[in-house]
Amino acid sequence: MLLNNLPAELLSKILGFLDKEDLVNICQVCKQLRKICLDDLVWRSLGEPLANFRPNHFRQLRKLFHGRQESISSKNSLKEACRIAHNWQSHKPYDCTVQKFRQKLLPWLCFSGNALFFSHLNSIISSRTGSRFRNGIDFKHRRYYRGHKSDVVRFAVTDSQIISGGCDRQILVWNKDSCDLYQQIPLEGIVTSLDACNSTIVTGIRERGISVFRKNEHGFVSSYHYPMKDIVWTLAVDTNNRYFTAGSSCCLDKQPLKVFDVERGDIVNVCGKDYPYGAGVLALHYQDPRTFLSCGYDCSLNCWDLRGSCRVPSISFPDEDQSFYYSLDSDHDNFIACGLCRFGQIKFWDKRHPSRNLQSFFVGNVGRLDNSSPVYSLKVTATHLYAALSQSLQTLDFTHNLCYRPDR
Amino acid sequence: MPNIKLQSSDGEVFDVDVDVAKQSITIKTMLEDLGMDEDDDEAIPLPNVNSAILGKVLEWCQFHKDDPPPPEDEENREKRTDDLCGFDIDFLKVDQGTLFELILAANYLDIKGLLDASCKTVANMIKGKTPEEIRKTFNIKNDFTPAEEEQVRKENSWCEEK
Repeated sequence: MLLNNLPAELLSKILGFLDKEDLVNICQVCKQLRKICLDDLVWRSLGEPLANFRPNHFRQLRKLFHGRQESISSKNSLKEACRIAHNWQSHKPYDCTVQKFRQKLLPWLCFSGNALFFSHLNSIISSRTGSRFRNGIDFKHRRYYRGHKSDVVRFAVTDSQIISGGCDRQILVWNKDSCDLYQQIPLEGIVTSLDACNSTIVTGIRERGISVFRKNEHGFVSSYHYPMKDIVWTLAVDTNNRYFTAGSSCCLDKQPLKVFDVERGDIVNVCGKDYPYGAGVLALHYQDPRTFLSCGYDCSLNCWDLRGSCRVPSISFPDEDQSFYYSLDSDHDNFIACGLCRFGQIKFWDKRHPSRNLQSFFVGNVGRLDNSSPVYSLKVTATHLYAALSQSLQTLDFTHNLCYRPDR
Repeated sequence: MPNIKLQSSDGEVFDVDVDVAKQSITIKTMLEDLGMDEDDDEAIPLPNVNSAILGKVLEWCQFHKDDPPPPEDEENREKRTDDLCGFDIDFLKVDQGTLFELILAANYLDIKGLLDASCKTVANMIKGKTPEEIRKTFNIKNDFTPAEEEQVRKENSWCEEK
């Protein structure tokens, strides 16, 4: 009796005990084993799940590859999802410049549904994204949200609206679908940071502190103001819209990271201690209502668990190069992507292994070696990474076969 | 201890302790559902298992009769293959034909512990081998054309070291 005489269900049980390295070898043995290896069952129980791999990513991939069957391969499989997740973990992706800017700017990115929103000078532009478009983005059909008299600093995308704060001392609110201006809120200073959910806008205003606006039947109205000694560089509303976190410059106030109650406007948590002068927080990201990530001038990326005292971070990711992080995004699970302060450098982390980053690479250096830009903002999807540099918008595609070398 | 009789496909009858035999969920269900009496003289026929394999299976059941029942949730089970006990490792040092027959028998008789141990043994034989080494180990014929082989290699080269 031979191995391949066993019924398929028992063969897939045996193969279910193997890791991805052995499974790709099994695929190449014979036609029968190859067919069994395309079964999702075999891949469902990989020893340790890959970093950028979640069930809803897999659903996205199913949609992505739907109907694109090749002669002897079926792309619509968990194996394919594992391959792409492996690319995120181990391979440098293809780097494409989708837009260049003439001046040096500080662009900001948001993602909503399958659309990418980015700020360009005094307007916000949105484009559909996905693998069916060249470079992962539909640049032919763009939407413009206009009205600011000066540069957009930060903006947020809610279910139905785009909310943006600019250097022209005002917040503008647009209808997301029609691009019509819905509301204009004058401010007493330049916006330094902003985040919003359907019912609330929180914004940092230079030399003023934090202002909070709540929505009623007439639109957003000023709710309260919280004075801050330092500039508020970043704000993030949690995914339940109950709390928001503010990150400030750490010059006069040595506690740059504070969590506020949205409703009451008081501080519920002060995160971390013994910050050195100037260890300002530059980016925040809520993974779930109880966990958020922060990074900034103190050269580290920290994960905070609000169920604890928050005197120390629950996980800390030290940066061996002592350069600091400008931006971050995650898959709301174990995978974290960070943008650094120079040369368009990006690092990936797996939350389960904080001692060493998964990979580190530089973007935006295609044909131009003098790119010294920070990564001002970045967003990850299951298949692509979008990064905003001072003079370009980059997309990185992880769906290709990034490892294949025919000359072996 | 009450005994029951099991009859293999080639007609041999095994006299077995009920508790040993009940590690097979198939036999346990038969006894419960069919209301077979323990002092019944009639042997339970097992037409899918020959005497050599049934003897091996019962030897395994005899050794593992005091094991706690295996955990139910399949999802949270750790996917390790290096956790076999010393008895299982030696017990499964058999030729490939016997090993695959044991897998089939364990599956038919629904003995989770033996099925897992034998599948893990096969998985361990695959681990770390190249496609060609796997073919040699299991005497499998390469039925890809050269062009297909190249394409299959191409679509499966993503796990290689950089």
